[in-house]
Amino acid sequence: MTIAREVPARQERLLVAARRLRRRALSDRRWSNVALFIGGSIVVLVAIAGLLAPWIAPYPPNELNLMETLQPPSSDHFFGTDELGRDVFSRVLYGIRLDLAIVLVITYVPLLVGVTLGMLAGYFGGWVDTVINRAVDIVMAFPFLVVVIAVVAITGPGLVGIFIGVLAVGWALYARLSRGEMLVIREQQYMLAAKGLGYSTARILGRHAVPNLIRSPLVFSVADIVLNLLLIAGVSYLGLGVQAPTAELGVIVADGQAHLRVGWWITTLSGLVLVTIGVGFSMLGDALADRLGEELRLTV
Amino acid sequence: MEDLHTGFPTLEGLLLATNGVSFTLERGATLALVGESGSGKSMTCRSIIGLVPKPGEVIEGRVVFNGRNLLRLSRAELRKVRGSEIGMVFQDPAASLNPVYKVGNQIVEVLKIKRGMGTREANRRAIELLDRVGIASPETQFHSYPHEMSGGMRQRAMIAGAIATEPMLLIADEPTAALDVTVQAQIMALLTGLQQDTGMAMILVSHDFGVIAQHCDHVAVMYAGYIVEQAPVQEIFDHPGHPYTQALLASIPHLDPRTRSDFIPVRGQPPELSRLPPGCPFSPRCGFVRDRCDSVPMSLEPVSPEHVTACPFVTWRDRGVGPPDRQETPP
Repeated sequence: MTIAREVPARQERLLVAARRLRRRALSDRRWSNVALFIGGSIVVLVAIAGLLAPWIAPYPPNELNLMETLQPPSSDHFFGTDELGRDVFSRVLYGIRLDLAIVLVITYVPLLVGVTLGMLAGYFGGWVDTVINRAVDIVMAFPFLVVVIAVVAITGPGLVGIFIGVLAVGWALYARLSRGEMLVIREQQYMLAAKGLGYSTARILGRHAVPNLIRSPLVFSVADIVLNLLLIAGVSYLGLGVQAPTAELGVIVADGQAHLRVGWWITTLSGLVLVTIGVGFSMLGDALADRLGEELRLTV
Repeated sequence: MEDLHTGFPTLEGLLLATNGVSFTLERGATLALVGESGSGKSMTCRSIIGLVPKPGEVIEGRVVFNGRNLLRLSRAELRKVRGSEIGMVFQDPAASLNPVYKVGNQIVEVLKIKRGMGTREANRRAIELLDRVGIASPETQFHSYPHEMSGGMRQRAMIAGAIATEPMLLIADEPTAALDVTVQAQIMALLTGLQQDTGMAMILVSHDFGVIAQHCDHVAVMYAGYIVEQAPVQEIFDHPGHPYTQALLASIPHLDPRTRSDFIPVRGQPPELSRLPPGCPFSPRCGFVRDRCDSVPMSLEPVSPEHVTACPFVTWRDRGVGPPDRQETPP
């Protein structure tokens, strides 16, 4: 009797537990999908805005119109005008264009350098590994921003300083990431098989190792984009990066600050755009990282 | 007529993973390498094509393949030999295919690089090869990723890649170790069939005496880096000379009900290569150990026309020093 009663009860408990697990898995999944969708949409929109800025911007970014200074947002000027009568919306579009271009360069050039060096370190080991690894240690021991500002102090304000500073530092993390991956991949039998087929070292590394180790650097690079975007805007805001009057988000924010009381829209709206872009890339990066984890779980 | 002579001790750290291994393999013939784990079988194979893992290297010896000493070749020359003249199949097919590429494209890559084929020709040939190794609907499977295939199919695909260039020698390092028994038989049949078609020679590393009996011509028994006995396959089964060979054969479980009772495991553990006993490395585990065993030279002496063994107490004609027969074992 007791058994007969217990069995359905246990089944019931199991069913409830199963349902709960399924719900949790689904909601995790759904959130990841939402993040991917929102983040992806923002990034795509921003990319289109940046690419097409010269065609969709209603005004040239630096056209002065002293008749219409500090106009609030309207149908003529979506984001209003600044103290020189420049259309803030147009300036923001051009700012996005410039920032994206810079950010892509200062993210993916270090990625290429870092992945290459890390891969070589992991594959060859020995003194190659020692040299590269010590270099990574040294570079990572410095605070990022301090290095960039130090370089800018030497080269003088402008993009050149930022490029050099970020390139000098940014590769290190990618090198460490891909070295770790390479250490694992090196021991995989398909690497031995590739050698057994008599492929050249360049082919083994380029064609057979890179596709297997590139995933985590790529996922990390999306998060890195956010950091670099803020770095560019931040340094430019401090007046060390892109120089006014060039339209750049950090510059626009800084310019508007002086007129915050009479023209809140300049700093606020351009700042919001900056935040939105950052959030978009962050969400995209998170969602991609989730995907990566899932994929790893599935294949192992 | 091809000749393959190998004779090389390898140094790994201070260990000799292979110690004066030598054998000859003729075109179309199959040599089996047998032995416990760590006896140097895989190192022998990898030494042939210069793929000894890092700290180790071949310190002595010659590998004459087609009249050329492979150990004297430059790296670039050796790369040309690998994959085109000598193919290699590894133990674990799941790990030997690159997970990010479609199986067909991995075969195409071999053909393009090693045979200089164009894309279309290589694609066509790859599908033929997949068909030849017995993969059903090769056009579809061409586009499969390795993780979409079963273990047997992956090993077939690996073999397709290894024979793509029609090598003269195929080195198969336990090609069936990771597969289940029915698939093992299919893969072995496939290898033998391919061998008959192409006339390639084959070195087969295996633990499985059943496989060896069916598919090999010669057997070399390895122990602690030495070849301790080498003979035609029939001779090994009928007249095992070296006590180690006898012990290995006695350790095979029989299904025959009349003999069902006893298979005799080889006693003890294989020796550590860093602490080999003097003389015969098998002596600590040998059932017939004698006083002189710690000073015998490990040289292969003939006991019949094609049969050599390293145990000096096995004499010509009087093969065997008294096998650990089932009858003699205490109950």
